[in-house]
Amino acid sequence: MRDGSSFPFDRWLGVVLLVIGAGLFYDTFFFRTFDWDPVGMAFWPRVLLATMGVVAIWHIVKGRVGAEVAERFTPRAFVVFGGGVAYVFLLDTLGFFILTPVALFGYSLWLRPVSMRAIVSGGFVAVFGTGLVYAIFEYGMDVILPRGILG
Amino acid sequence: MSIDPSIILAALANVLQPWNIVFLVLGVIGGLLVGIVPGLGPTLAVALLIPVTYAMPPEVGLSLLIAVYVGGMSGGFVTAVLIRIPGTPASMATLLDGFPMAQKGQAGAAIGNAIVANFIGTIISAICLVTFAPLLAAFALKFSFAEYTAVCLFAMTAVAAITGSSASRGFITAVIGMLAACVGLTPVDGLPRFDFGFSDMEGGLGLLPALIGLFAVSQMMKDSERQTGSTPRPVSAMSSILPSFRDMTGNAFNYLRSGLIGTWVGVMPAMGGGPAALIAYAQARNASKTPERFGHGAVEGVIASETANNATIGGGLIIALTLGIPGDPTSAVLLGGLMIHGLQPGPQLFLNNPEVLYGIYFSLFFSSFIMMLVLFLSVRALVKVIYIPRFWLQPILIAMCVVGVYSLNNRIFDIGVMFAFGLLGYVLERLHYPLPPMVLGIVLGPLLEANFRKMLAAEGSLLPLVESPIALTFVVLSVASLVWAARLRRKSLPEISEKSG
Repeated sequence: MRDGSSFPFDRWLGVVLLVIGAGLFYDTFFFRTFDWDPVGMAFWPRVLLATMGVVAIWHIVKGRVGAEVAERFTPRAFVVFGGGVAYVFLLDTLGFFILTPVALFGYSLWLRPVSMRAIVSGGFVAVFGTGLVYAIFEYGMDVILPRGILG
Repeated sequence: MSIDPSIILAALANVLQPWNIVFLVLGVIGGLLVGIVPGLGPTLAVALLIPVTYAMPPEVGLSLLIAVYVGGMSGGFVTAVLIRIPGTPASMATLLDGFPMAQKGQAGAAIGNAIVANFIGTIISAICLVTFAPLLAAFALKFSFAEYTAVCLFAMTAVAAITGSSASRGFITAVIGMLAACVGLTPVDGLPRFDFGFSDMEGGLGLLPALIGLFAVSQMMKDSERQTGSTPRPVSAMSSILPSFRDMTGNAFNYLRSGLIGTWVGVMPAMGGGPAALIAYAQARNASKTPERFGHGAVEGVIASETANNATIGGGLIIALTLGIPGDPTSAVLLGGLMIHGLQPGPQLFLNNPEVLYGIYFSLFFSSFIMMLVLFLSVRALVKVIYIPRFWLQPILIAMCVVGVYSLNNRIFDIGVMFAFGLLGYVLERLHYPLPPMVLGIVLGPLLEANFRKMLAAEGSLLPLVESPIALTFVVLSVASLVWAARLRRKSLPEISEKSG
C-alpha cells in the first residue's frame, strides 16, 4: 500500500471498488420492475455503479491520482474496530449492563500502558461511563437499553 | 413569502424561555469543550446530541444544536494559540499567527481578539442568513424536478472542483456515499433494494449512524493508534484577554471582509470553515500594508481566520435550510436533526414551519452572544479540558455514540452500521480520500435520484434540464466547475510526477 510501490494504493482501491461494484451491478438485475415505471429502481444504482466503475478503471490505469502519500495503517486501530464489532454481536446476548463496563474498561486500558493505576482508572471509567450513559438515555430519554441475560 | 410579526415574536418568546436559555448556555459550553479538545469538533458534538434532542420540542432541540455548533466552531482557536494544535481544522489558519503571538507573551491578546472575531463572524453570517435565506427560499419555490436535479448536480460537481489535485478521489467518495444511500427503501417506489435478504437492511443504513461512524469512530480509531503521551503545555500564560480598542477599530474592514468571505464559502457545498479561514487569511495578508508581519504574530491574521471560520455557520445554514444542501459535514448532521424532528429542509420549511426558522435565527444570535460571554469569563477554566486524559474521555464518548445511535430506532443494527462507516472513514482518511463529499453523497443522493426519476417520469426526457433557464444555469455551472477541476488537476500533474520521480 506504499505510495512509491509498483501497485499504488489508488490502483488497489480501484480494483476493490471494481469488484464490489460488479457484484452490486449484478444484484440490480434482481430488483423488482413495473411496466408503468419508465426507468425502474435499478436505474439510479446502475448509473452510480457505472460511474464508479469508470473512475475505478481510470484509477487502475493511472496508478496514482493525487499528490498525497498514503499513511500507514496501524493494527491497534483495527483492534478497536474489532472490539466494536464484538460489542455489536454480543450486545443482544449479554446486555448493556454487563457488556458496556467491560468494553469501556478494555478500551480505556488499550489507550495507555497497563499498570495498577491504569486498571483502577479503567474501572472508574467503566462504572462512571456506563452510569452516565444509563442516566442520560434511560432516565432522561426513556430509551430501554438491551438487558440481555439479566432479562 | 410574507412575514408574520406574531410568529417572529412567538419564536423570540420561545427562545427566551428560561429552560431554552439554559440549554443554549449548556450547548455553547459543551460545544466549546468539544471544540477545544483537539480531534473532536462540532460535527461530533452535534451528532452526539441529536438523539438527546429527540424528546424535546423541535424549536428547543434545534436551538441546542445551533448552540453546540457555534460553541464547537468557536473553541478550536484556543489550543491553536496556546499549544500550536488547532482544536478543529477550521482553526488551522489561526495558529499561523496566534501561536507566534503566544510565544511573544501575547497569548491573552490573541485569545481576546479571536473571541471578538468569532462573535462578529457569527453575527455577520447570521445577518446574511436572515436577509438572504427567505429570498433564496422564495426563489426555490419556483423549482420543479428539473431545477432540483440541476442544483443537486451542481452541488455534486462542486465537490470534484474543490478536491483539487485529486478530484477523482472526491468523486469516488461522493459516489460511495450516494450508493450507501441507495440501500433500503427507494424514495420513489418505497420498495427495498440492496437488502440482500436481511430485514434490517430494508430500513436503510441511516444518515446519523453513517455520520457518527465517519467522523467520530474513525477519529477514535486514529487516536488509538498510539498509547497516551504527554499533553503539550502552553508556551506562555494568558495575560489580560480583553482586546485593545485599537485592535478592534483598526480591523473593522478586516472583520467585514472576512465575515463576508466566510459566509460565501459557507454557502459553497462541502467547503466549510478550514478553507474559509485560509482564504480570508490570504486576503488579509494581501490587503495589509505590512504583509511581512503575517506568520510572525500579526493579530490581523488571527482576526481574519476566526471571523471567517465562524461566518461559515450562517452561510452553511442558508443553503441547508433553503435547498436542503449541506455546506459542510456539521450542516449535514444538522439537516439530520431537522429530519428527525419531522421537518423537511427546503422552501416548504419557510412556508410550513416559520416558527422553527425564526427560532434558529434567534438561537444563532443568542448563541454567539453567550459564546463571547462564556469565553471571556471562563476561557482559563475551559482550557483545562485539554488535560483530561484520552483514556478517560474517549471510552465515555464512544459509549455516548453507541447508545445515541441505538436510541434512534432501538436497533443494534445501527450500531453495526456506525462501526462499519467508522472503518470506511478510517481507511479512506489514511489513503487521503476526502470524507465531506461522501457526506454530501449520502444527503444528496436520495434527493437527486427522486427528482431525476420524477423528471424522467413526468417529461420522458432530459430536455427540461436545458429548457428551464434556472436548470440550465445550474447545468452550465456544473460543467464550469468540472472544467475548473480538470484545469486544477492538469496544473498539479507535473508536481505529482516530480514527487513520484
